[in-house]
Amino acid sequence: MLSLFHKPLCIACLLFGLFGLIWLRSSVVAVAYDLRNIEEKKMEVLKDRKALLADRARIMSLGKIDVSFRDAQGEGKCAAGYIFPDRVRVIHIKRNTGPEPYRASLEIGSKK
Amino acid sequence: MNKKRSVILNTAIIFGFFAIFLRLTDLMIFNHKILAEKAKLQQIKVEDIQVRRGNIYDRKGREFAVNVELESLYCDSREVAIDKGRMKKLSAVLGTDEKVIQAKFQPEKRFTWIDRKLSPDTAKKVKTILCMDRKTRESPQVKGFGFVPEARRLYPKGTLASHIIGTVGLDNQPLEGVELKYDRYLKISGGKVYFERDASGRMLSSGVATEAKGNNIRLTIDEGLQYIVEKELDRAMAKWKTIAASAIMMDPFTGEILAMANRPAYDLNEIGKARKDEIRDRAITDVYEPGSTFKIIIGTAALEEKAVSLDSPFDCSRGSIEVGGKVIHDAHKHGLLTFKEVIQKSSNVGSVMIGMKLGKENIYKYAKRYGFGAVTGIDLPGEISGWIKKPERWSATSIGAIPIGQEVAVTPLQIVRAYSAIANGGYLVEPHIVSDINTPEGQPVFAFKPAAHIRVISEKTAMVFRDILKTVVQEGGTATGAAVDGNQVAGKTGTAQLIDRRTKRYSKDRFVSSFVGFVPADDPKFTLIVVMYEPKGQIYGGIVAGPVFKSIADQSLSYLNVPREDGTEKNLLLVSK
Repeated sequence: MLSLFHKPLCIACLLFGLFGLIWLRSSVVAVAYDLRNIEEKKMEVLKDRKALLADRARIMSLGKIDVSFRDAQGEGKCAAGYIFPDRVRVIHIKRNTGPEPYRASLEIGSKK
Repeated sequence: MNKKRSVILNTAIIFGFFAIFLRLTDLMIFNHKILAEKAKLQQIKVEDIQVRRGNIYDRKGREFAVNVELESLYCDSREVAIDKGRMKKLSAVLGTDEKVIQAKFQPEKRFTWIDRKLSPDTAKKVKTILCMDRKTRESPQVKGFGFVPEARRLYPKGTLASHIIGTVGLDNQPLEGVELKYDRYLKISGGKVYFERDASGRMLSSGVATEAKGNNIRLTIDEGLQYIVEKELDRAMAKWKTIAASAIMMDPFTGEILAMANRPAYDLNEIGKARKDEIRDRAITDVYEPGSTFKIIIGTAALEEKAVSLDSPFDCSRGSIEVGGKVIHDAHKHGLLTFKEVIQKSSNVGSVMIGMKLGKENIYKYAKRYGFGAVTGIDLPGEISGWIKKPERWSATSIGAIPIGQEVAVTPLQIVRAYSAIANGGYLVEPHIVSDINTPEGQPVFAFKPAAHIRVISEKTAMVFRDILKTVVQEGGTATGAAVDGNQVAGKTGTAQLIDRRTKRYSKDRFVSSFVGFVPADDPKFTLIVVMYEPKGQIYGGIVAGPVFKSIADQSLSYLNVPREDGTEKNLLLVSK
C-alpha cells in the first residue's frame, strides 16, 4: 500500500524538483540581468558624480571665487579681490599650561 | 514479409544513428575548436577594464587633477551608411568639415576615430542624429557608428600650479610635472572583463568592477598660498613689464614646497595652445647669475671660518675695486663699512674683499656645501644643476666675480634652499612636492621620508647671519620695501646683469631682479624667493622684487593665521581660523 502511495509522490517530488531547479535557474539569470542593469545605472550615476565633483572643484577654486568677488564688487571698488583678515583681530587665548580642562573659548565669548 | 520490413527498418535506424554519430563526431571532435570559439564569441563579450589615472590633491585635499567620463565617436568604414542630411548635421555638431569626416571612411579600416572625448552635450546631439538614443522601425540606428567611453583628465584650477601638476596628452600619456614624474603611481594596468550575453545581445552581470583607478597623490602645495603667489606675480609682471617671473615658497624646516609658480604659464586643460616658453618650469630648469643673493656664501663662510667678526672694517670708500684687470663697482660709494654693513648695504667692493680673505678654496667648499652646482633632487622632471667652476679653473677675475654672484649659475630653487638653511639653524633640507600617495581605498603606498639632515653651517653662524639679514629690510638696508607689517623679515636682494647675446658681455639694460627671505625671521613659517626677469623702468631687487615679497608674505601670513610679533601679550596661542 505504502509503495503504491510513495511512487506517485516520488514522481511528483522529482518533477517538482526539476521544475523548481529550472525556475531557480531562470530566476538567477533574471537577477543577473537586473544586476547588469543596475551596474549600468551605477556607472551612469558615477559618471555624473565625477562631472559634478569636477565642476565643484572648478567653482570652488580660489581664483574663481576671487574673480566672482571682484565682479560682484566692481573692479574699481575692490580691485584687490580677496580681503584677508586683519591679523590684529585674530583671536588668541592663553596657553593652557595645567592639566585642567580646556575652557578658554567659553570665557572669551561671555559678557557679564 | 514482416521480417523483411523489420530488417529494413532496423537498418534504416542503425544508419540514421550512424549518420547522427558521424555528424556529432564531426561537430564535437573534428570541428570542436572552431565551433567552441564561435559559441564563445556569441555568448561571451570581452571588454577592456577602463583604466583611470589617480587624482592629484593639494595638502588640504583640494582637487588639482581629476577624471571626467566622456565619449568618443568611432566608425566602422565597411558598414557606414549615412545620408547627406545627417552628415551635414553631424558635421555642424562636431564642428568638423564634412570632407574631413568623409576622409575617415576608409574601406580597409574597421575602426577609425571620428572625434574623441566629446562633451556630454555634443555626444547627446550626435546620438540623436545617428538615432542611437531612440531606435525605432521608422528611424533605425545609422549603421557603422559607435561610442567608446573614455576618461578625460580635467584640471579644475586651470593655470594654477600648472608647472607643478603638469599635464597629459590625448591618450592620457604623461607629458609634464607630477603627472610625468609619478606616472607609475598614477597609472594602473588594466585587464579584461568577461560578460555573458544572450542571443539578443543583452548582457549579464559579471560581478567584476569594470573600472580600475590609479593611486591618489597628495602634494605639499597649498592652493591658497599658490593662488596668492601667482596673483602677485601677475601684478608685478604687469607693473614691471618683465618677460618672465618665478617664485617659490618653501617650509624651511621640512623642505615642503608650499607654492611654486612661473610666469608665463599655461592652462593645463589646453596644452595644445601652450607656447614652449609657457611650459618651462623656470624655477628648476632655468639658471641665472644670482647676483647679491649669493653673498650668503661668503658671508656665512667668513663667519664659520672666523675670517671676520661682525665689526671687521672694510674700506669701500673708493666705490670700486680692481680684480684681475676688471673693475668692480658699488651702486653707490659707501665709505668704511663693517662686515654686517657690507651685507646690509650689499656692497660689491666689501664682498670681494671678504672673498679674497676667504680664498677660492673656501668659497668653492661652502658653495658646494649649500648644494650649488648639483641638483636639489626635487621630485619634478627636468631639474638642472647649474654650475660653479672648480677652483683650479677660476680665472684671474673669478675671485672678484663669484663672491658677488657672477660666473655662477643657479636655479631659484637652489637659492631658496640655501636661505632655508639660515632659517632653520644650519641644515640643508630636501625640497619635495609630493607628500604622500594612497590607493583609492586610502591605503598608504608612499610617504615622503627625509634623509638625515646635512648640517652646512653651525647654529650660531645661522643665528648671527639671520640677524644680519634682518637689517637688510630695515632702515639703511637695500630692501625696506620688503618689510612686513607686524613681523620681522630676514632676506637679501639680488640684481644681476644678463649676458648680451650679441656682444657676449654683460648687458647694460637687461637684468634679473630678485629677493629671497624668510618670515617671521625668528620663527620662520616659510622661505620665499621672487625672481623677476628683465624688468623695465627699475632694475634693483629691493625695488622690483622686494615689494612682491612683501605683498605675498603679508597675505600668506594672514592666510596662515600667523600672529603678529608686535602684539601686546606674548604668551598667547592662536586658536581661531
